[in-house]
Amino acid sequence: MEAVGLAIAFSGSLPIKSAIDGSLMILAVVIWSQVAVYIGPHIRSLRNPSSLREMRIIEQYKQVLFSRRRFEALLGLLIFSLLLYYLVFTHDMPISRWLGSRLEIVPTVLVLVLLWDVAYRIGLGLWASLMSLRRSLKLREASMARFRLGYTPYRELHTLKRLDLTSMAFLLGVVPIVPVCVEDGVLLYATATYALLVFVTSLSSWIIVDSVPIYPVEVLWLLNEGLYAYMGTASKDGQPHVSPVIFVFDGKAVYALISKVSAKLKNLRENDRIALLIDVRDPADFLNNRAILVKGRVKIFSLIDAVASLPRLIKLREMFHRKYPQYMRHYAEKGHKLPLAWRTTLFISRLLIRIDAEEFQYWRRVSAIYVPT
Amino acid sequence: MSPPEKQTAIKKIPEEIIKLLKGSYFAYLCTADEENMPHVTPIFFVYDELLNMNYFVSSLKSRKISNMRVNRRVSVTVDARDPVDPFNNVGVVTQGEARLEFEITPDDSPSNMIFPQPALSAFQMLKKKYDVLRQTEPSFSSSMSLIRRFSEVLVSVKPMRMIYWQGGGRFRRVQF
Repeated sequence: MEAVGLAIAFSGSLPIKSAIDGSLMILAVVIWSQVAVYIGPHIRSLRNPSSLREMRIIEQYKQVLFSRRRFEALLGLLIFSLLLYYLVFTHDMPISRWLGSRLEIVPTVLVLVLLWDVAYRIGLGLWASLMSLRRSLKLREASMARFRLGYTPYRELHTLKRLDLTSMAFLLGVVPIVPVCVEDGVLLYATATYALLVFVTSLSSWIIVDSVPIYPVEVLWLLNEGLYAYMGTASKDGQPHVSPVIFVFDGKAVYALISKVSAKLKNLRENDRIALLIDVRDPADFLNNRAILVKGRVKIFSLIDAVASLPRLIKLREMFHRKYPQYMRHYAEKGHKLPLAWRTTLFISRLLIRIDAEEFQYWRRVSAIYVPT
Repeated sequence: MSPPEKQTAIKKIPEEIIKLLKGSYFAYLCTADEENMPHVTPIFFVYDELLNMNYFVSSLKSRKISNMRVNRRVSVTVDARDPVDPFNNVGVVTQGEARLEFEITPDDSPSNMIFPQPALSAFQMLKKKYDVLRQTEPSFSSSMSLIRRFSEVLVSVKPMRMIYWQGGGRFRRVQF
């Protein structure tokens, strides 16, 4: 298309500006189609959430984007019509800037095709980001009504967030369009509106998905009610280590305070992979244990991190005091009797760590062992 | 940074460690896979004081067993906690080497299979230790007699190092 366009332009019948603008528009179309090509497989690969409501939302999201009815083309058509109306029927006929005053058939068709392509891609970008926003809003709503073990897997939420970030790449296509319409206030205004719409919808969609809880309610209960966690770490040469810690869960991640001289910290500095087991025992039934194992990577808060997230630190401190009132009182009263390494003072004795979950396992009952008799 | 008080390396296992190991029903086992990703599971276990060995039974298909096949080094933690006073908490972390002793199928019994003496005593200890619960917890006995269709394996953990702590900031290290 580029070659045909250039050939026609250089055959002398069109101004140079047409050739440049045409090339820029083709570049924009290429960028937009690449984004769409990149996003497509990620959407198709989304697995089904185990929560029925959330599953329907994801299915609907896929359906509407890959629908045979091609809703995005309808939106594209609408944009194309508006564009054409503006370019052809307003008083100074802006399209003549590219085609000259006399309309020849071949260049006209070429420009129309190109305009349609641009309009279609704009429609697609707009449609995709609007649908993402819709899906995020519904998903969040559904996640608030989760039941037992129903949830959307972490990996799918992660993919959705990445899709939202990727759809911001539709904005890249706007870059070559700007010089094309820089002389025309209306077109420039329309392009800016489009860019703003895509940006705002994608960003809001990302923020909303980010607030969807990553655990089912039963697991959330465990994370909130479990008192002790067994923290598994491994040194770089493969020696595992497990020891109990107290922790708090802020709705998204688990935080713990670990001693600066502990083996855990030494291991975590060498290898940031971590496994955290939180179990709750049923005093009436020995086997009726519930446990969750969270596996992921750890973030160790440095002094700079702590200063940067001071409000969160204050909130966490409050959470520790609420969850372990007796412990905290004991540490406050008798802390001075402890060796420095065991006190709770942040940065002097202990460091704050956050566990960023990548996967989790949940057990509802511990299985009985079989012993031959 | 001052090291914790009273940190001593000794050869003999202190009485309180043995008491703790014998008295706890749960232990937490940490293994690591080929990518050095840790994995933690609660286990039922027994500690053989004479041999200085931990034993437990696990399904052959479990993650801990597949991890042990690539990395024999494990860590076992046993602790007792005072929900009110952290200064009463006690615990022991064992670092050691795991060995898959042998597989057990549901048909195995001492009458049709010859167990080596350590394994036999491990089974007897497991039965005795978790039999206490049989009287108090009806659901346990029913699950206990449940015969699984898949094989299990008896695993031993030989301690190389033990660290014992008490909430007051006392640490003891035992090296083997």
